[in-house]
Amino acid sequence: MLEIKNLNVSYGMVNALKGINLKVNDGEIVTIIGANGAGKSTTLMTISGILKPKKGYIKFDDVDITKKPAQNIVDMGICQVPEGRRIFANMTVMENLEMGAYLRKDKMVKSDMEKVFNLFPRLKERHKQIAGTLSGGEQQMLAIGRALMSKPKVLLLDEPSMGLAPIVVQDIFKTIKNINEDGTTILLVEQNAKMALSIADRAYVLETGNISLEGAASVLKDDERVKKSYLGG
Amino acid sequence: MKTFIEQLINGLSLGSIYALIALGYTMVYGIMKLINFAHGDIYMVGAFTGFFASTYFHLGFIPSLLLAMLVSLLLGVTIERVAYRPLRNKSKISILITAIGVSLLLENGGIIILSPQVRTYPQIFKQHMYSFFNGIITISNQQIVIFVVSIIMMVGLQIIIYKTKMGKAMRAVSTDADAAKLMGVNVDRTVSFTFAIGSALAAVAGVLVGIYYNSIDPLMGIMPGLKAFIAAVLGGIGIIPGAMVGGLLMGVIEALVSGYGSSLYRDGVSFAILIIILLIKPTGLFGKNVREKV
Repeated sequence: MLEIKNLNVSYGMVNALKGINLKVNDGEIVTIIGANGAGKSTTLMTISGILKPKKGYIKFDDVDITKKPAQNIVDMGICQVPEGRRIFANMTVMENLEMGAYLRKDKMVKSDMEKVFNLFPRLKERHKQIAGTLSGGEQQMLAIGRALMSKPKVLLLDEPSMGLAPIVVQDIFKTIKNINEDGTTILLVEQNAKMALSIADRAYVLETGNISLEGAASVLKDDERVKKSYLGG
Repeated sequence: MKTFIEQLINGLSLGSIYALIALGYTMVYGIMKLINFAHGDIYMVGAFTGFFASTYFHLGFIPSLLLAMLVSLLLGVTIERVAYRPLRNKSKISILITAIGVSLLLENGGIIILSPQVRTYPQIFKQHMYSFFNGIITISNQQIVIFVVSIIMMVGLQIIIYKTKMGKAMRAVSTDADAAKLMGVNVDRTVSFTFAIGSALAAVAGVLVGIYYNSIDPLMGIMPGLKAFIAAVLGGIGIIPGAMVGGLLMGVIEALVSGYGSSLYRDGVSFAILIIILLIKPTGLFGKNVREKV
């Protein structure tokens, strides 16, 4: 459903992506693992239309979205949970969730908010609280909840485990799995390769702008090269 | 006591006008980190529109005010579209210099088109003084109009910002423009909207000043523009309640300095306050320290 071909993205003189190919099928959890600066976030930001590629294309359900503005891409059903959560810190939890539903005009927004609250009861308790005062884990929940409010077909997640305690990370990943089981396709970018490979169907390894390995997550988990570089030997 | 209250009322009237202008500065800064130096001149255009509407078209107060708001709004949106938007992703200094250029263009364009002469604003409200408590408090009907209109505008602004979808989008863009984009917010449109509101408020201030001081000229925007900018910095630039309080404070201080000292010191004191505030609390009265993300 999401197809990336020969994607080249650069920041000025620096080529961040050097022609990557990637595919996400309906209903899958696909993960991109790799070190800092490999181009993982660049990939997601380009899919979301924030960055524009120099070459290559991105197709979503066979429609070319490479040149579409960010708001159209959200409207088509691709929403991102950005790295570092980037919630609207001086707005309330409720307002953050409403921002997620910004483009929606249907009447189901209220009931979808209830669904998000069911997924993250902590957010319900704190719905009037200013988002910046939440803990890191709660902010991550809010960032995911906010993206879910747009009713995405594909959810892009950028390092949801960043800066969180291991026990919170487990929770977040369990939730991601649940969201996927409810029918949302997921493209997950992670440095925590072990966690990512444990829930993903397929995986890509990104190294300085190139995809060096790809395959079923269960296979890559036991791959010597992956073990050595990303799973701590 | 009587002088004090008198000056306080004068100061609050002047301060409401500063506050209305300061709001435009602070909103635009909040959303795109730009000091829109042309803002004072948008206020001038608003004052002139009100002048023409009431002098030549004999419109009443409210239609003149609405027309002035509309003209300034269109001007503000056009300036953003033509002069600022193409530079948004360029360096901050180029857009700042452009803002100064737009300001000079409006001032000198105003001198050419409108002539540099000072115009006398029509007396839309015949001055009438009301006194309370045996004359301890005297207030003119013009001052009452200034208060009422300013309060309506500020309450209206709060409603727009906190209760409407566009207002939420404005706040989201001002916190994190890219994150807002990821939620589907059209950032260009939100910025245009911000300029529209800020410019319309400046026009209101322009018309009110015309009514209060009776005279307007093409360079009238320079000094109040600077003062309102100081007011916005005083309150904490980018923070809306800060602009309101900063404006009122600025007006009251000026009036008290004129009343008790000499009006010659008025501007000096305003700028001295700016320097002191920047030394003691660089982020302004309502400002918080923002840590830059690295």
